[in-house]
Amino acid sequence: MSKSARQKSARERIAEERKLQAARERQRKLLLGVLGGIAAAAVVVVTVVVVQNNAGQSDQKAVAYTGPLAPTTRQADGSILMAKEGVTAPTLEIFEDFQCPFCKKLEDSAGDAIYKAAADGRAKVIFRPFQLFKAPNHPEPVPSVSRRGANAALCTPPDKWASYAKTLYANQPVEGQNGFENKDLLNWARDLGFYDAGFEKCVVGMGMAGDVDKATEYAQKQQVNSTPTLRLNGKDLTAEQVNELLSDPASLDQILTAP
Amino acid sequence: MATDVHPRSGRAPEQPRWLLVTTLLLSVVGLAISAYLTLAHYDTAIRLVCAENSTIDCASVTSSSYSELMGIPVPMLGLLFFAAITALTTPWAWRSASPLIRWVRLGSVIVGVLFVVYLVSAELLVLGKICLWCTAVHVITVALFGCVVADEYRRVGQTA
Repeated sequence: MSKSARQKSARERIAEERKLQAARERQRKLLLGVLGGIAAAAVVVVTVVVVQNNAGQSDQKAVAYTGPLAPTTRQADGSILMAKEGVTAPTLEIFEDFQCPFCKKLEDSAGDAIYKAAADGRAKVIFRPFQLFKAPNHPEPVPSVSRRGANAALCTPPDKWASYAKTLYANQPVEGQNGFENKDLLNWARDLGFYDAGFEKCVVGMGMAGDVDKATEYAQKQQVNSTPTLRLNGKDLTAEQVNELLSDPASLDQILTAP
Repeated sequence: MATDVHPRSGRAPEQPRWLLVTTLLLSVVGLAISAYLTLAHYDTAIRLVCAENSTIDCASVTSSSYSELMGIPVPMLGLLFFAAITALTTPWAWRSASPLIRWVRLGSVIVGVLFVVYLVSAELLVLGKICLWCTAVHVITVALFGCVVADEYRRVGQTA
């Protein structure tokens, strides 16, 4: 092999070597760029999720119901009766647990429509809060949160029922996390303007625990094993009817006026 | 790997068969599960209730506040995502020389993986619950991401 030929092949080899190196460099940059970028973006995403969640939980304010309200009274069995004077039918019973996300959905969607239907005399509404989530099916703190919520709601003066129920749902802890702490339960009463020593004693001392148990027993006897359960004149609303209420409160009218 | 390149055209060699088959298969399965979850999201026969004895369930995840993004149900987003990805992983799209298709495909799977990060962190850190069907979709998305990046890695490693 001549000298020039040897030099040429050496040049070619170097050129090839360079190309190969450039290719490796591109591969390195690709992996670094894609994986590094994703890792950085992932940290941002996770942080945003956590911060948003915490912000939502620390901002625990009472929510007042300001719409029309029918006279509201507490009945002997612990339930809350909401009905315009003289209205005896149709009867809408609502079995609920303040820890249940679907009850929150119902309140968010159709709560006001239900209070208004009672105020307008289109229905006699009975709220039956109870403790759906019990040990051992549900690990702590779910049962305690559920129980504290129901107790505090029953401690509330009946005319503040709508506002306090709304407040409990607005501040519903995520299932499995703590919440409905006494401090918050009392602060919400202050926000809504009905706090007094009696309420504090009732909340802190679980003064309505007996009524909560009674209501829970009643629900069991009525074979209510999920919430929200809505009953019109003693008959359960169908899943379709309840689901529709969750998305369209106007459907309440059809449900109440159905023959 | 100069020998991988066609000597005359200098074009990239065809994608390995496993890549074509795997990505298309993953895309179609993802499409099917998303379609099922979208239907489930709108199905009124599924009772949206809390039950006395339920623990881990899909319903509580697929109906949580994280089940919609700006009013659009997440399964619907998944459906759109997999419809696009299925189109982008057909053998025709893989063999296309268009850099646009290539970049859109890479961009799509990156967005997909980030969305998975968002949803999984919401499931684990906020809801404390896992939805099995959702997890299947997440695994598929990450696998697709792996395939597409592997192909990019191969492409940029070519010396011609």
